Amino acid sequence: MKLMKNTLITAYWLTTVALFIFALVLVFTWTPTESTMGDVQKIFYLHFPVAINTFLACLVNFIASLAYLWTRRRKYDDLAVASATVGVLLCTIVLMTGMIWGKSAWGEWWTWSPRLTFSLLLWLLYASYLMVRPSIESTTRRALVAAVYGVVAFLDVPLVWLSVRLMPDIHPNTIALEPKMWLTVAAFALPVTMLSFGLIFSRYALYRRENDRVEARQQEEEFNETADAAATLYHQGGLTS
Amino acid sequence: MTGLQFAIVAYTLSTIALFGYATRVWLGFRSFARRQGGDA
Repeated sequence: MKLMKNTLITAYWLTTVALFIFALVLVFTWTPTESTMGDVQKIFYLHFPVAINTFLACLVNFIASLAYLWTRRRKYDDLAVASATVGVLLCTIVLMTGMIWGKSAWGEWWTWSPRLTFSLLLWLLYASYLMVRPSIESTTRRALVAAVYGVVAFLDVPLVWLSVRLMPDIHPNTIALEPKMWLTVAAFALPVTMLSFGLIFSRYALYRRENDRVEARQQEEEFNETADAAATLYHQGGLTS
Repeated sequence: MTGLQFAIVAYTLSTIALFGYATRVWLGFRSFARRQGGDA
């Protein structure tokens, strides 16, 4: 059973890597060059799926935070922190690829447009989430504070999504692509989504194992302390009687 | 730099970030398995 599980996990990751390499080859050899922006537009095929997966990672964090507040079960806190970690990684890639695109297309690395500002805010919110956690010593209090923070932080996701629709912005709003270009977006969306969810659940599984081990050790220590105390009392009783 | 060079830099850095983190998680599993083996 364990062998079968390991084989499935290995197959999942090998498929993800193969699809990612295939999509990379597609972008640089098969996909036509966009007529207005030229070759730099090729960044879009990675930038867009990674942005969508950033929102999905934040959504997982939001749902896990709500589930923790509802049930107070540790596993939901583990899932929330795993999704926040992957969300920060993905958001970093979105900002980085966007900045490189901006430098080539607009001539500057950064501009304080609504979409870019809310995206940076999203990165700061989830980076702070990860930085604040270790400063709270009690595990239950840390999980509670993080869950409330996670629910509030998610409010920025609709702002990022709607910013280009509601406010004037330098960031493109509508995307007009040829069918071959949409196929390339789809070819990238699949491995990027597999990678994102694979990373969230791997990180979650690792947190679960580490926390189970720590909890088992704590229980063992508590049991030993109680047993020692009981043995001491027994011997004292034996000596006095 | 040309547009193509910008695109290659973006793809290279993104690939390193994504698979670098995946490698870190995988090493975490290996380290955990080693520690658990040591404890036993």
